[in-house]
Amino acid sequence: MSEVAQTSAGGLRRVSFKWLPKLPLLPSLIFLVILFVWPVAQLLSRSFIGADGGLSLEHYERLFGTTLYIQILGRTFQLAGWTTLLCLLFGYPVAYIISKAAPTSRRVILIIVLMPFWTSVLVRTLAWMVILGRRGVINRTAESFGLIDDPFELMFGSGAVLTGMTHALLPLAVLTMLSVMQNIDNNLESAAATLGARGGQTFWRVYFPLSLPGVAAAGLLVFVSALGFFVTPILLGSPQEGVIAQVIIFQMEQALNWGFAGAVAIMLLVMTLITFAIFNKLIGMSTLSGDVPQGTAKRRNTSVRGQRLLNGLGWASAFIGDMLDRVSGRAGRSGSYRPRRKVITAVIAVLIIIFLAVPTFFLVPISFSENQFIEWPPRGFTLQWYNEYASSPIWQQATIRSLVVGILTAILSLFVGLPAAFVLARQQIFGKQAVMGFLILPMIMPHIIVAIGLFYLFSLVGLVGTTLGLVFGHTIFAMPYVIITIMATLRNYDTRLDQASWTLGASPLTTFRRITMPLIMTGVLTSFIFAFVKSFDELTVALFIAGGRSTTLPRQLWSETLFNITPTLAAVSTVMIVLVTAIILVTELLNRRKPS
Amino acid sequence: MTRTQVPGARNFQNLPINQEDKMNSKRIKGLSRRSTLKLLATTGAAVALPSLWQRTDAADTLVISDAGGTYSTAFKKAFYEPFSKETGVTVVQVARRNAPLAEIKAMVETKNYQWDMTGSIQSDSIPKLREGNLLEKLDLSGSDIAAIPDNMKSDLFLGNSVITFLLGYRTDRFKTDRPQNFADIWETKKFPGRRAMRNLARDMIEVALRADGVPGGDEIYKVLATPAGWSRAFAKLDAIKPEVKVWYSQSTESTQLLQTGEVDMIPLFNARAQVAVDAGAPVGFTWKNAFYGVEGWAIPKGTPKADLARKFVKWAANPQRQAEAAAILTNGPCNPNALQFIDKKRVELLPTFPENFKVQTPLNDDFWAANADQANQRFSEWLLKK
Repeated sequence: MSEVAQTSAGGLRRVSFKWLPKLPLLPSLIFLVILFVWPVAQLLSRSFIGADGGLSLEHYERLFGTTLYIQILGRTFQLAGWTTLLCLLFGYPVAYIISKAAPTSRRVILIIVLMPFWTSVLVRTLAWMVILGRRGVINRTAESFGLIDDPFELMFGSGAVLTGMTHALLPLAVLTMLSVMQNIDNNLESAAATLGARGGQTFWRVYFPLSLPGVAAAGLLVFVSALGFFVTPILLGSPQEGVIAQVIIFQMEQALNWGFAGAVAIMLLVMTLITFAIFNKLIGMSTLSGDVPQGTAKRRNTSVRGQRLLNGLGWASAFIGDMLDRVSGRAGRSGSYRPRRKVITAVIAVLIIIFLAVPTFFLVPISFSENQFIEWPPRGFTLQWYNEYASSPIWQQATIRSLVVGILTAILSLFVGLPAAFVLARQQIFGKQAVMGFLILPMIMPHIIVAIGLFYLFSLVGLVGTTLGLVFGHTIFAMPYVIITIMATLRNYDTRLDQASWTLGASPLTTFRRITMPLIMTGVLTSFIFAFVKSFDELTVALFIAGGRSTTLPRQLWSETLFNITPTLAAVSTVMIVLVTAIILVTELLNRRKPS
Repeated sequence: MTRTQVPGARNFQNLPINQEDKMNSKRIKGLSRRSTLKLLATTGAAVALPSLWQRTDAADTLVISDAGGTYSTAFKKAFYEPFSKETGVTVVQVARRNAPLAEIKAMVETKNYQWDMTGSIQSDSIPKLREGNLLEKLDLSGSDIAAIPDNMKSDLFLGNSVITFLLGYRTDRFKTDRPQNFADIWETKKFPGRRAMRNLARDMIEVALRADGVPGGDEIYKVLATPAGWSRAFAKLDAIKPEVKVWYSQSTESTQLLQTGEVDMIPLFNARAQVAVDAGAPVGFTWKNAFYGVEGWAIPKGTPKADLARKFVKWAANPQRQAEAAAILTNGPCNPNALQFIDKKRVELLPTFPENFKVQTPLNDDFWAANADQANQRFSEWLLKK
């Protein structure tokens, strides 16, 4: 179906200037080349300079002179891989439920799913310590029921790290997949059912393949984001969960050995690109970019194999459903499998949604506790921590500034990223995979490297210490999320709708505004949220580029923890959640009042 | 509008005008998608114009960075405000990350000084900064500075306070018989309980050798002068490794671990342990055989305000000022004369209180700067081994 659309669209394009439709890609490339590639390359090139100031490979000799760094890199990739797997497995049913839910319950679920986004990574990690710790919620509860004598060792291991990282990245996975599922036509499933497909078959052979671009995009985003994580592994893990970002940061900040840090960073970059290439080979970026598979016979074989796998899964699940029916004696009752499948999915989804909300629900009581620390159980009731937030102009200024910078970052990321996503999703361009690989690089680059690189660049043009500089800095990290999310959304977009609109006399602008935008709105909103959150929780660039004079929320949270982790942090997180939830609800109400 | 430019630094005073020109010329051309974007970006720049070149300070302004949080509160009250009152110089306080080495290097190399000096920088950062020629020389004249011990000051750094790394423990776990020093971490039969250690080579090697009977101070570095000495330290660490439940990287974490009872014994900084005690947690600590580092003032090389910064540093050695900071931060003033200005109850909690201070030994920053890479790598490899 989409093959037809593609060819005919291609036919139309050939008449006009070939390069014109590809132009919108340029701003994003120019943006990244000037603000990311150039400054970062200058910094990383120090890895080829020896102690004597001449060209040298000494940093690389040190890097590969031991297996230490390769081991850490391996563990980083392993951790990211497992996190991705868990996020996709857990995220899929949730995204599925949301895409099928009625508008009201849908909003409620979305608000809960988004909750981890509004608490800073530090606070979230502390919440997990409260839950998993030796005297944490789980152990105390188990003890009070007399279930255990010795507390479980839940913290400081790969289990805790995976829990923390999955929790942090699950919203990303859910929202990315949701923005694709949103555009899957429900009629297709009905059609499959009409043609005699059982529930399992409809899902695996019709729905699942259509949702694959979302899975691929979510997998890519989660994996690459996980590579850059370091707070969660440091706080919840053991040294076995050491990550490569930590090594780079240590060399940049403590050892002041930028050459060696550069060498480690280049190793990380190269390995990420190799992984990306393998991902591309195995799954094919075409799931994401929407290119018609036209490669070698071998590639076609892969897709045939994939098709067979899905067919198999379809038969298998239909068969299992059938067996279950017979066991429960419901065989023959028509349609009985459909509700059951729904119930199971719903139960799984609810469990995962509870998992997402749990840390927040522990933070709320702690924020009213008279304890001086973030600890469980809360004692007494006090508004002291809220007072500290409300009575401090510094906290309020930090909140406002973070909100403003976040919104500006999201707007800029959309303005630059959206056109690029359109080109990448719809046009045949030379070296598209390479461009895609290039666009995701900022996601893995430790922020300290970008921050220092930008400091040198911005020093030349007087952007250090400015809001604009900070927004530029944050957009570097935010834009890849926008591009990938919107690309995935566009994958299931039927371009014939645009053509129909043109045929009916609408100008391209009107078509974009009245047809395209409403259809991809979920994707646009999702990427707006991603970009905003990316900026909202960013600390390093904010401290380096914005200077320390006007504070941001993460910086304020971080200074607050210098000596003493007080429940103020929990109070601030609660305020953020309430604020964001209120904004979402008010927007909804206003939209509803508008006559359609 | 801008402050005096450093010779050799680029002058950007005319930048805002250029930006406006660019913006206008863009407006004249048609509105393609690209130019719309550019227009947007430049409009953004125009909106941000007042802050485009933020350092609009007059000659009598000094920008000082510190580690933020409690440091900011204490320094503001003890140093910044009194200095402003006395000299008429406006002090602008900014926050920086914990170890500002990268900031200083970036500022000096670009001659773009976001701040003129920094407080609460740790003395272990100084050798690296000296190697890169990244700091200004200080004025060490005057009786206040003369009172500060020699190992707490150098031509590039003036100590402000002492921070001690010591053994903290839970008093509800060890009720009567309490751990006495680092060696008791290894006494797993006498002091059963969960242990946390710091994920930092230097501190763990210092702790291990002390526990192994080396008195501390220079004796440590005599032992570490030979490869056998390093092996001795790691052999000692081998013995405790299976008992260590947590290896913490962030100092912030250490308070949380001890305070919530996640572990029963943990080497950590005195101020961190004190926070837990102050919050009413059953926590104790011992000064015996502990080691200390120094945090203080330094000035990035080439800042146009270097002279004023030097004046500030000299002024900040004043014992009464240091005493006032120690009333908020549980760090020991470097100037011994400061102790008489601190109330009796408080002074006993400080690292430089004579009773506490005489049982500690200092870290040798130069030794560790020279050996850090090697030590860190070996330590990381050792940690990764199961």
